[in-house]
Amino acid sequence: MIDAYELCRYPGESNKRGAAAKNIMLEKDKWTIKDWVRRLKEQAEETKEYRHRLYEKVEVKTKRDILDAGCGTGVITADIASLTTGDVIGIDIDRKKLEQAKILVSDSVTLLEADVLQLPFKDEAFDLVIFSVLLIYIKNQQRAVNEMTRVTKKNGIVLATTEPDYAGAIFYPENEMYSLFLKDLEEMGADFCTGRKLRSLFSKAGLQTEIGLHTEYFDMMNKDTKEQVTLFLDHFWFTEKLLRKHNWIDEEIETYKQERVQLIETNQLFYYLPTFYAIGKKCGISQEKG
Amino acid sequence: MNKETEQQVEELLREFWSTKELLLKIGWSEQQIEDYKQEQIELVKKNLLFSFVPAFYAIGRK
Repeated sequence: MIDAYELCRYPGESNKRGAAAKNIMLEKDKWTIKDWVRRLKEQAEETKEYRHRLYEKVEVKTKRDILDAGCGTGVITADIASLTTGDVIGIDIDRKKLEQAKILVSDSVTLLEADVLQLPFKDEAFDLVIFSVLLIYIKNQQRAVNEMTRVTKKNGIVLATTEPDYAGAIFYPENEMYSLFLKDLEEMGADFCTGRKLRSLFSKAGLQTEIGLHTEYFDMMNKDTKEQVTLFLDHFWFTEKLLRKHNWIDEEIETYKQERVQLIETNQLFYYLPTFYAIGKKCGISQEKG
Repeated sequence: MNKETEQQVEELLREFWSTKELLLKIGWSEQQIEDYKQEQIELVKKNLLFSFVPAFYAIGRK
């Protein structure tokens, strides 16, 4: 019976809400690989327009050898593969995610279990190396960028499509859920300042770098209110799971949901997460050791 | 150093007077300020500097 439950409180955490709630999480509330698939699919959908603009900019369809580093469940890998007749390889360190990726991508895509810090490829093997929301979870970010640069051909491109900077996020009014979200990310070893480091990481790798800002999450605030509410409710499953993990009870979750819907409907919500991209061209300049 | 970097260095030097005034006000010596300026120039030259200030606009229709 004990296998069905899991302690979910953070050590020393004082839980403002849900004080009377149980300290255990039901099996159905645990974060599973299916949740990863769903969440990464949603994120890929949210960033699709911006990513495709970048793919066009780096001329994905003309590239012969492409590496998707940290491909996860393969949703973005499949997207990239649909744009080119070149060879696409996806690598990830997480075997469970790769198994999901195998279901999603076409047979023409090669998937490998590999570490971005030690890529199993010879020097200058790829015309284009792409990654999305990857560096944030890597401790030695410089080594990862250096390694991706190593396997990129001369005049080839290293493209970071999306790297957020959570430390620079703005919420108004303050959002209690966000601090819980950050705690979870911190537990996963996330670096909240990755976005701001992107330019430096690429330049130190010897890449001629262009940096830019995404505004897709910000633009959402200017969409039709109904559309915003629908989107919020569609994605609420993720928030609900997070809140349950932190001992919130049904009533508290429902109250929180209604409060947020109210704020969206009255256009009082302000949410800004700085998210950056970087395009690095390999021009044969020396790199700093990571 | 490419043309864009050259322009960035020029801009930094052109606007450095206000930084200098601020640093003098908080008690930095001429030498400290010069060292700081050189450090900043070096960072610009190597494309290692990142500066981002979120600034928003709003259009309200009655």
